[in-house]
This record gives sequence, C-alpha cells and structure tokens, in this order.
Amino acid sequence: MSRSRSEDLRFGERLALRAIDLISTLYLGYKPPVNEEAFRTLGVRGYAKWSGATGRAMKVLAAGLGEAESQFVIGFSGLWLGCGYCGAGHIHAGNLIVFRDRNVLTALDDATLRDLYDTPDSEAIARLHELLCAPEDARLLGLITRLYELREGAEPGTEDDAYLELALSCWDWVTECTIVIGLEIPFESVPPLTPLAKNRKLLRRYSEARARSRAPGDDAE
Amino acid sequence: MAGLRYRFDRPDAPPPVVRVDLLESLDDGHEVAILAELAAATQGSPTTVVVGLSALTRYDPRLRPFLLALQGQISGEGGRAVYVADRPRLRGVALWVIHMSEDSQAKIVPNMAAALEWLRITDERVSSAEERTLTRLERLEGEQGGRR
Repeated sequence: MSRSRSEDLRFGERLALRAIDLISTLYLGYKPPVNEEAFRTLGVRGYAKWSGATGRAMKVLAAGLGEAESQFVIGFSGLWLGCGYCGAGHIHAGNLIVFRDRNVLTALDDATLRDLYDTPDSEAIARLHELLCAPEDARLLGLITRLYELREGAEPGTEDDAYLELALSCWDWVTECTIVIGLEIPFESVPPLTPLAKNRKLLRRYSEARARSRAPGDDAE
Repeated sequence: MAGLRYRFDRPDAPPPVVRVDLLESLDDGHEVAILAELAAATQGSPTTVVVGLSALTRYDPRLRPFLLALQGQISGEGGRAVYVADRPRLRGVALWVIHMSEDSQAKIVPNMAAALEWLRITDERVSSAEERTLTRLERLEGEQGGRR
C-alpha cells in the first residue's frame, strides 16, 4: 500500500478523484463508491495501475471464458474473498447477460448469494451443485467448482485455470479496497458492475422477471 | 463469562506462534481476557498470531471492533497475524480489519493447512496480489494476441 489511508486526500488527489468519478459515471452509468478508498489506499498512480489492470483483466477473462462466465467467475472470486459488493455486482452482471442472451433467470439471485456468503466452504460446492443442476449450467458449475478448488490450494492444470487464477489474484488486489463497503452493503442495492448498468430497459425487464419468478411470500431480492 | 468461548494455545513449533481460536460470540470480559493473555504470551516481542474464526457460525457485529483491537496489539508489537476463516463473510470481516489497520503483512486463509504454509514464508499481501495479477495478465494478453 503506497499511501496511508488515514491521511486526508490532497488537493490534487481530490481533483483527480472528481475526474475519475465523472469518467466512471459516463462509462458505467453510476459512480463506484470505492474510488475514494482506492485513492486513499493506493494514491493516484496506484489507482491508475489498479483500475487499468482490472479493466484489462475483465477483457481478457471475457475473451477467454465468455462474457457471462467471466462475470460469474469474478463475482465468485470476490464473494469467496468476503466482498459482498464485488460478489453481488459481478454476479448481477452475469445474470443480466444470461437474461439478455437466453431470456432465462439463473438460480443465483440475491437471496441465494446472501446465503452463500455465510456458507462454510465445505458446504458451498454441494450447495452450488443443487443450484446449478440444469444441463446448460454445467460449464458455469465446472468453472466455479474449479475456482473454489484453486482457492483451496489445488495445483493448476486445466485449460481454464490460467484465467481462473487471474481472476483470483486480481480480485485479491481489488477487494483490498472494495471491502470498506463490501461487508455491509445490501446485495440488492449493488448495480451490475459493468457498463450494462446503463441499460435501463434491460435492468427493468430483468427486475420484473425476477419479481414474477418469486413465489408469494418470498423475501424481495 | 460463562462457558468456553475462546481457546488460547502456544504450539511448540514453529515458534514464536500463538494461536487464538474464537469459539462463539465474545462479551467484554472475554475480549479483555484475550488481549491480556496475548500480551502475557508475547511479552512485547514480535509474534505471529494465528486467529481462528472457523468455529464461529454467524457474524456478530461486535467481532469487528474486537479484531481491530487484537490486530492493533499484534502489529503494534511488530508481530504478524493470519486469520483462518471458512466462511466468506468472516473472511470479509478479517479483510476489513487488516485493511483498516494498514497491515500489509497480515493474511487471510481458508483453513489451517494454508495458515501453516503461510507461516513459512514472508509475504506482502497487496504487492504480491499486484505482482501475480500483472504477470498472469501479460501472459494471457500475449497468448490471446498471438491467436488473433
């Protein structure tokens, strides 16, 4: 960590933060609530390296694993590390992509993610097998299972492992700052952490479909 | 203080290591007792402390301020801490604590085997994650570029 986070931001850092917040809002459709913490922790140059590498990693992962799969892998990396913000936001993005492309809802709604957040590792994989049991979920289940195995110390070997290891190390780095909000934030309040957040029409359709899918009396997602 | 809510242990090897396992939610008395017991065990010298959170079955909001105090005591003496937690939310609590403490040496692992492995190495958490990320990213970008 190149800067002491308890120090106030200097004038130049505050200006740079405003510019980054503006660019983020234009690109993503919302202002990420972690930019200030990243500036405090990493400094301006450190922030540029951190956010630049994260953007590159997201592109590489999407090209290597698929657009939706990459978002689920990133989300589960963040969730495993303890960051509810990264977990909910990237899995939300993965859910939106699946809904946009296949018009289906995955089993990974916010209530399920909250449950997984408190599930011991020894039970998590069995729970994911229950949730992702449809034939079309096989690829995603395989990736997340392998992600958990690598996290537990398995030796890399499969074709996808290099991508999974990139997600794990990159979100090790990312969650160092996002954890300041990632512990308490309600999952349902986290936007999809990609430019899909600007697609209001898709967000509305998805939200309506989720509402329809819930049985009466269920907790709201 | 009723019942066993934590366990304090000083394993023989590899020294100097102290292990504190939290078994259930603590009250003020337990928290004070743990900090005092730790001070007595370390005698002000840099010590590695393994903090076990895996026996906790739920997140108690009191845990964060207590771990912050514990972390402050460990790093204040020049020691390092490794947190063992098998639930994501509790790993998040530990990450929040070590981030707020600005302790780059502290680590979070999912099980005791990983903690024992970590005891053998010296690792700077954030720069290690950065280095691993950039190395993997460059390799994969190179491979993807080569395939185009």
